[in-house]
Amino acid sequence: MPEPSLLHAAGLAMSYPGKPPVVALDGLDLEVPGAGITCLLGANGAGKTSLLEAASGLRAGTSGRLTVLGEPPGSAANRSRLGVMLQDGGLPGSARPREFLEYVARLYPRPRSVAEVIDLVDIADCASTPIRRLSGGQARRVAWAAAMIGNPVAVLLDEPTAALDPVARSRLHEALAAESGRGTAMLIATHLVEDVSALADYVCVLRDGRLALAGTPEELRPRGRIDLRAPAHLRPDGLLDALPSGSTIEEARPGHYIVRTPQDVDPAIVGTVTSWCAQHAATPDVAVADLGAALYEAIAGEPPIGARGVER
Amino acid sequence: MSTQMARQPIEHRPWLTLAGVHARWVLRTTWRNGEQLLLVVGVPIIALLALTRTDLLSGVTDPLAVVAAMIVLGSGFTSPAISIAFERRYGSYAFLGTTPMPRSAIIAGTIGAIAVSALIAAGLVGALAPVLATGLAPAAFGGFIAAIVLGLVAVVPWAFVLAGTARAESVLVVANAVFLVAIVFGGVLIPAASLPFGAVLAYLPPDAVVQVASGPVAVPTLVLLGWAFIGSVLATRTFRWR
Repeated sequence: MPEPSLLHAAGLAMSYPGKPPVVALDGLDLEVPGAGITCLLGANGAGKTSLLEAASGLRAGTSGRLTVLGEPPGSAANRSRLGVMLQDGGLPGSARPREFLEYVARLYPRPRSVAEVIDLVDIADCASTPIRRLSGGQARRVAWAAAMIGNPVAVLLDEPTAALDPVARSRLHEALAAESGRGTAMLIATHLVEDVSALADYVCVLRDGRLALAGTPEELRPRGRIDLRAPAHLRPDGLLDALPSGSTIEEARPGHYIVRTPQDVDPAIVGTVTSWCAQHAATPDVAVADLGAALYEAIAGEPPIGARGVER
Repeated sequence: MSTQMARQPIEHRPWLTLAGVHARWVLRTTWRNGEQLLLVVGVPIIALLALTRTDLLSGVTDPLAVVAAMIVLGSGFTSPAISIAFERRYGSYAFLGTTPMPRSAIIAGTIGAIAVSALIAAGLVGALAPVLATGLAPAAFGGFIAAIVLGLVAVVPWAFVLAGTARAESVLVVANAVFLVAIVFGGVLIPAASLPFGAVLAYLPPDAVVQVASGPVAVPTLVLLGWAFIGSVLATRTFRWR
């Protein structure tokens, strides 16, 4: 029997009322695998939160099909076996984390132990502090604990690492990886390429409510591409002659050149490009395009502004 | 992964259990909050003391009727409207919408918690009243309980109407203002007969509660049931979970 996908969307459309209506999802076709960690990227307004809320059963699409774990979103079965972390947390501000988790645990037939989850997400020191007084990082951990407490087979997480400092973020990465190791499938909406490099088994990029890119990080890593910054409108003939035959150079925008080679970029090619670039620019800026650059292009719909692409 | 999914049969906790879990949660958070506690039991008991032991409000002939109206408005309207509005603001109903908790169990649990809070307040008043005021007829307590039950039925839907449509900060202001205005100018502390528009007040819940507690019940009962009906229809049409 094939493994059921975590999420399957076919022609899914959703818009919010307004004049004119705001289109959030515009005929989205997407298949999220039923195992491992899938990262969902996209600019603000690309439709990530709308998709996760539709998958959680909180919003209905206006047309198209959506199934989650093979069932309609929000079905009784899904509510028992799917953990959800909403973007704004959804935590009652006056409650304390421990009592809130005890309350949420009572909603599930086979919850995990509250004490164990509190240890796992490391909130023992603030378990009795009203939630509204917690730091951003603590509140995200409580929301993560609430998503896990029901012992879900899959979780949907909307920007779990937003507003976390680098230390807190890498600790959450470890926790998410450990949870994935227990066999929990995950769909994580994020802005951060860092989350993708740390976690993703599969990546989907949304742009304007449609799927712009999907694949494993290995599949999506650009091959044979170097981005370089140099003065605008150079004649690159000399460089082209030094590169393997079949290579191309394109000035994507003034001063930003994209070099493509037929095979994977190797140190010799980088050396050739760098020395050519050094003849024209005081500080050569040469970057072998990596996953971050590919994701940036998919998110923005255009090449990165700097050769180094996305901030990391 | 697939084996885990296949192995776990889908189980559910019974609806009544979930409603009970939510009722306990609402009671726990209400009875810990100082302002809510003041509204639910503090004000009615202070009023009972003032009405039975001082001459501050000599115009009042039936202290239990006044206290019944306060319990109805505090436990049944102002306190739940504020807490429901903040749950909406925090997005906690949205989160619960992703758990096995059905919407209907949230509503039932919330109403159950309101009823328990009001009954506790009524029980405290019922236990204190004979000590404070001699000469209360036992029959007065029948009217007192009937007024609270009918009053809750009338006003609780309106707590959902207000809390389910307005911003939390506005609800905080409006719900408290309604409480004060209703108590002072709604025919509760000052008898409707001595207020302008006294005749109109008879068709509003505060004065109707006072009438059920202290006099002939047919018309005020109909008034309260009418408010209950309109409020319920409005609440089911307008309530937004976030």
